[in-house]
Amino acid sequence: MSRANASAETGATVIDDDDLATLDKAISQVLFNEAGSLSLHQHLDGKIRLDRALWENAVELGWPRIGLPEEVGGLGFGERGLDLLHRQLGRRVAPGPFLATLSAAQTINDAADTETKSEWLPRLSEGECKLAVTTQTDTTSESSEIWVLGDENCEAFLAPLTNGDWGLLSMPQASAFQMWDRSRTMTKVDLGTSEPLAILPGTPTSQALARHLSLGIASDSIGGARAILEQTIAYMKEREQFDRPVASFQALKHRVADLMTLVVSGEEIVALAVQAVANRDPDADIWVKLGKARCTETYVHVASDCLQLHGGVGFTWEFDVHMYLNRARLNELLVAANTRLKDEAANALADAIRSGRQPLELA
Amino acid sequence: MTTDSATFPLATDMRILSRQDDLGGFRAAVQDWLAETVPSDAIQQMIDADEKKGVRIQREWMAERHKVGLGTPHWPKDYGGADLSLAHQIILAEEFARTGAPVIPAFMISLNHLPGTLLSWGTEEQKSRYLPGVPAGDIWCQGFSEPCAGSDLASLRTRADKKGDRYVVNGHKIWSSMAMYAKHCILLARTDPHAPKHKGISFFLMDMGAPGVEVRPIEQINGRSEFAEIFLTDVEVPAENLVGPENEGWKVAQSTLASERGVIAFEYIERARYAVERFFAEALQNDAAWLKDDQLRREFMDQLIELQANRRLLRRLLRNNARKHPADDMLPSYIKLHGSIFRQQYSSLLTKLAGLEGQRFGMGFEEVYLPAMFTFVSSFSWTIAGGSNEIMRNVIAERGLGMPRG
Repeated sequence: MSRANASAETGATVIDDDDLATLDKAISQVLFNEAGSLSLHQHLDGKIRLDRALWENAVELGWPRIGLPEEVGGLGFGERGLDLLHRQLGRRVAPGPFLATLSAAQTINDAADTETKSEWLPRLSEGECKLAVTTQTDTTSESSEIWVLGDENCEAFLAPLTNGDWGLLSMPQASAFQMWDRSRTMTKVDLGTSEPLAILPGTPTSQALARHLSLGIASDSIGGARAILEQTIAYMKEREQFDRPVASFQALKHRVADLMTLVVSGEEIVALAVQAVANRDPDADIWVKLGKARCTETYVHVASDCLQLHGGVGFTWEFDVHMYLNRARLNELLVAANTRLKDEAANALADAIRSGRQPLELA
Repeated sequence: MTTDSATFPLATDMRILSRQDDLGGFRAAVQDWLAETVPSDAIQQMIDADEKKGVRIQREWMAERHKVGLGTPHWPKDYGGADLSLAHQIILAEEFARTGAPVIPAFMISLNHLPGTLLSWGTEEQKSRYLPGVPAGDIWCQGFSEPCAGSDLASLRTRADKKGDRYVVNGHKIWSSMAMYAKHCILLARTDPHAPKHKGISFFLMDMGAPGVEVRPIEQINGRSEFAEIFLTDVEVPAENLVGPENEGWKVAQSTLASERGVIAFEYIERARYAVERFFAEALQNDAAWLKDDQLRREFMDQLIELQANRRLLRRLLRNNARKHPADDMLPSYIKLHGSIFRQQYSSLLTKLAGLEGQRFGMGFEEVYLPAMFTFVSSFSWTIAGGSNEIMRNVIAERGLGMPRG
């Protein structure tokens, strides 16, 4: 696979579309083989640790390198490459430490000092360590106990410190809680008892982590929404009642058409946010915040209605729909409440317009 | 056979068309021309204009465009057009939207449906007789829908009976935009009442001044009368005005309906972008109360992201249509459904932001979303006309997603 080139004029990364398409196909094929419905259910029932198996596989295939620049051993595909990866992981509701570890790596790359970067990034791109991250990126938390996305197998977690800085703190050996979304592991940690392994600057770090988590979540959500909707449509074509497939009832067709319209437009919203960040658009965060809010709301709505459209079997453990619905519910709550993200986006929009920029201009 | 170019009125000012080869230069020339030509109060004029004034503004703007060769820019050169590529048309749409130049919906059929039909199916005589009138200001209307044939258009009942060298037409058409201003009509009528419903229809060009044509404007919920009914009583249409073979009208009509490839919708959504941006900037300047209302401010942000999504979808459609073999034929249905809902929900939000003051009756100009109630009430034409959203949902589910017909 050929590498991406940095454009001399803008500093933005120029990435070949064919390379991205090749990457997308490869990821999709691996996940098709390794994270099928049967494996997902075995993981759900605690019979296998699919999260570990997928991560090992990913490390072997170099997926932790996708988003990082070449100087630290990355492939230089940046946000566009990570969008493909998270979308495919979302399609399969694939378990594993991807969202937290890869978002933390991008954050370190964007915000940390040279020393911290050279200590962590080569190991992160090799997939030698996994990182957890705080689930809420605003730094106003009063309690010293916080939720992190990740478990005791992570080497450290990225979180705000009490003095306004951020730190990479050693991960306590507390065991993870069982969550409704069993594709993710979450732990409660006490900020006071952990050792900072590295210090990162407050505002740039919280902004970068919010940005990368939000993008990853938006891609994951829209990938998951499309996949479960396609699976639901396929089921509706098979399932017959009153001597006809339920897919032939107009009331249901109209609902499905509306859901797919939400997905198709949501995919453009993800693409808008990814492109804005990749192009280093000064107003990119408006679209990142609105994108995370819209795509997670869409995911919850689509997955809920897909469950309903399945009828009785949608209520069973053995069908896949509930895995999507649980992941959608968690996605919605990560980074910050969507209401807050919309408020932040409104403030950013106001700043941009007051500064005489044209934030609505499309690239 | 090439047409005698002398029959087509030609552009007198070549400052834009002469720069076709270089897209950047073309854009700059369009910008210069617009800066000179579009009055600074153009938008206010359109807000204030009643219907007749609105049509006059459109005619004047069409004449202005024609002077620089932009009356029928997308038409082939042989028929008086400039043969501009999609890329050029996109530039025009963007610049018209940016400047707030007048819109010309009265010429919708003249500019798109008429040539879309005649260039595929018309005789040379029909083309050279009717196409040159368009840049000169001929308004055409469409006589397709009937009171009992809306979404199910093929069940239309208007009859055209052949008598010697003419057809005698009797029937009732409805939802014909601008029929009261139109000189001609593209008409669908049944020529074989015994054939299956799609097989007995023919396509005609009808003179709106012919005896027996009566136009009655429809009073709309937004206070305007853009649509009309057309009553046809023993109207004689010469046989040479049949387009395509007799009883093949349904097939001919497919070219008519496929003639617009997204540039108009693109221009409208680009206009929406400026309207939304301007609205927010003015709210900031006036420190509008709704900016401090959490619920309303968040609803505005929700609509903003839908606007951007629709703009991107339209750009994707245009890129797709520029290809030799367009790949995603469901895109127009998604765009129509999503775009019309955006329009309705955004204008619905605007009515809440406008408060009681916005409930005072007043008409305006839809493309700047002013005033709010006018735009909101008008938005239902977008969710109903041109294939209602319910039909779009059927099309998406059946043709796009392969869900079986019930």
